Amino acid sequence: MLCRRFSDDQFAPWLAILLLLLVFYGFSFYLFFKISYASYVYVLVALSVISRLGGKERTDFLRINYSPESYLKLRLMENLIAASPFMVFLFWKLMILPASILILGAILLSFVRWSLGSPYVLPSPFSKRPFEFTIGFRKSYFLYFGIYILTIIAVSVGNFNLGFFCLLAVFGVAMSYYGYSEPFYYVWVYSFNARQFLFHKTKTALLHSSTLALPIIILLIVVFPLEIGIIFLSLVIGWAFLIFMIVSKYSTYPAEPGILQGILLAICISFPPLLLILIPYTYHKSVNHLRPILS
Amino acid sequence: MIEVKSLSKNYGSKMVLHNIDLRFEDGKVYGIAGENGAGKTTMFRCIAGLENHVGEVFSDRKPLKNHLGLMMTEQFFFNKMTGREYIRLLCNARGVDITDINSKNLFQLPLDEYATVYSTGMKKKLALTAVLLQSNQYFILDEPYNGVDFQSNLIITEVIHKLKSLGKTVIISSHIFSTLSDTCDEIHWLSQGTIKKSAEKEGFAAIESEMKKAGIGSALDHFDFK
Repeated sequence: MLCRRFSDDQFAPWLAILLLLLVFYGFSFYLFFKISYASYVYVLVALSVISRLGGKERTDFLRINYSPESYLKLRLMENLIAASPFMVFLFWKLMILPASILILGAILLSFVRWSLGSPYVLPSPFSKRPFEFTIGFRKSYFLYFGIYILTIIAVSVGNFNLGFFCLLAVFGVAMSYYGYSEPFYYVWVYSFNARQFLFHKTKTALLHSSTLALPIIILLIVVFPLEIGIIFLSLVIGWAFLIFMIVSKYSTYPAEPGILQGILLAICISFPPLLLILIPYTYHKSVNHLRPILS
Repeated sequence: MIEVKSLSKNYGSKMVLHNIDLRFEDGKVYGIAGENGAGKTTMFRCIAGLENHVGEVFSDRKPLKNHLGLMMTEQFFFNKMTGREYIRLLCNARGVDITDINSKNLFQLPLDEYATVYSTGMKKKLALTAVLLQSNQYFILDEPYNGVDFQSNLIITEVIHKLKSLGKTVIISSHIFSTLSDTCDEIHWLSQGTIKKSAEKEGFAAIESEMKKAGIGSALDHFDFK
């Protein structure tokens, strides 16, 4: 499926996989270079990626089509394959304990089936202005919980870099809400023109992401007052990435954001000033893509 | 008023709509009848601007899409979004400030539950409630009676009558003729992408009889019933 997606985006699969691996290991090096407890964050990220394979609809399909033994083998295999890039890096760094925790977690997660269709309605602070943050919050509240816990740890041990990472992580999670395209109807239904629509989406995203980042910002300013400049700079960077993600999504609409958008995002992560060029460029493309729908 | 002129639509070599000319006046209810796959939904999507097409669609309020309440036959609902949030989303999108949704809960829906866990009929009722609250001038309701219970059927019919009395333009579709004859002022029979016949109240029976004849035809003659 991944190879088909690359081909659809006019990318040779081997080239796309190579680029993705480069970006992945580049990000891994950056993470371990920047923060002290990176191995735990790394394992958490890996397990969160692996857990996505255990969705009820997906596993139900596999259970219908395979015998119980084959199903279990398949789930074990795919979890271990998904964990392998993380394991390779941890073993290379000689971090045996986190690597072992990751392998154990991947094996245990192959027995777990997540039911996303739970009827329990988690209250969302963003209920008044649906939809990205309203449903995104319900899908990723546990990540915010983890980020807030890490922030408290960062503050209590006096590790500003970890706190800084947590602040950026809030925006990272929020960016994931814009990683897929909504059905055509949900853009068509707006009575705005393309520019008003993008402004509306951006305004809502900045307001909601800032609300989620506010507790971390306050804590960091109180405990690390000398770092206020960096804290506000990271807030601005977080906003810029979020804006880029929104305009990037609609620059291909109604098609799903593709590999090219992923690569551009990765390049911007390694060199954020590039956003100053890419945001206006992608915004212009988005307006052109949305104009026929919203005119 | 909505006017459709020479509307055609094809998917590759397959012609789905062919040279449709229709006019929908304010304060009237129009029915589009036709078998499954006749092109009803495609025609609605073309009128709404959700599909590229040949031909033109005019309306007295411009742009048409900003005044059009479109209820799809199978509306997509986001996972983890409640009925109340769905209504808010659709109203916000049209700049309609919606307060006290509970008093406007026409079908007594459980608005604080996820819309994806609603039954088919409840989803239809939610979609209808949302487009009604958008304060539109034109309404396209694709199969509004499909999957809803008897009581809600009556409410939907009353809603359509109310919209008509308010001077709104209502277009509804159904593949079951009898659901249209109670509510519509005019019915168009769409078959294989073309308008086969149009009639006002007095001509409904004739259309229905022709539709039955064409629908059943000799379909059962060669089936080996045992």
